[in-house]
Amino acid sequence: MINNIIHGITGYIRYRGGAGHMTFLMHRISGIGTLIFLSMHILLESTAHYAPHLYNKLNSGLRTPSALAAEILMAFLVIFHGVNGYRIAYFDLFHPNLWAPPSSHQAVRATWIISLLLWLPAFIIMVLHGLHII
Amino acid sequence: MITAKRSANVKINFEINAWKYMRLSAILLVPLVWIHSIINTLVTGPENINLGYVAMHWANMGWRIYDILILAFAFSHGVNGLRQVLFDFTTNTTTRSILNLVMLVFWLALSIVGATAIIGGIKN
Ligand code: HEM
Repeated sequence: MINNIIHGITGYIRYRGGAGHMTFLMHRISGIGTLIFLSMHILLESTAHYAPHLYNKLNSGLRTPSALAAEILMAFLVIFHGVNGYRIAYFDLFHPNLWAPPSSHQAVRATWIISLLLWLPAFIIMVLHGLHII
Repeated sequence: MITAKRSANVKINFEINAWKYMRLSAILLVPLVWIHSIINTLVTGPENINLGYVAMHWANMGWRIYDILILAFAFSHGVNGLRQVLFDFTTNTTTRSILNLVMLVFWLALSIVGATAIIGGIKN
């Protein structure tokens, strides 16, 4: 198992699969990053019911520059994972023939461009808003 | 270009259904997750989120159902995704069974904590 993990991870880094491989890795990283966030989020929000006196304290403790930076990063991860997930789901469920190049390459490029364009307004709003409240 | 329709007769098993579930839940997750994020971080703003806000939010049955749905779909999708990633690192059936069990317990535990909190609401 340990060997498999080491092999697997070095394979992830060493494999020269270009944009498609980068996008696959980014989908994994954003998926697991979002799952880690969601797990903490479930526990934190549950204190509203289980330990109400803790809820406001924990919430206001998260109004720091590093928490804001993490939130802005999370926004990108969840936007990218969503856009890329739609690409995967659409191809697999409705048009598997699109997986062949060149359409697959075009779709990967479009995924990154759409993700960045959707993230930009969120980034600006979150930074401006953050400067206001921190 | 691939033009011929390629299909094969395969027995439907749990893993095939899990693969399909990732894609079907994905369709629901973009609206569920994005609307939730836009409302709470961009419209309401983190500085306005406190116990009073949650109480107001959960006073509305529609939002409670929304929160139960997002918990159910996002968390099951995420835990199954993690399970699939971990499966890529081992083909050993015993290790995979242990991973399945660990993932099941993790999924059930946090789902129960979250769902009981949403159903229980804010106690005064
Ligand atoms: C926003 C809407 C979302 C969409 C459209 C989406 C779509 C997808 C799809 C289609 C896959 C399958 C990838 C594959 O098997 O190759 C996937 C994998 C995954 N998703 Fe999501 N997802 C979304 C939200 C989430 C959320 C909220 C989480 C975390 C709780 C999450 C965590 C994961 C994980 C961990 C994987 C496995 C990654 C992998 O197999 O490489 N996703 N997602």
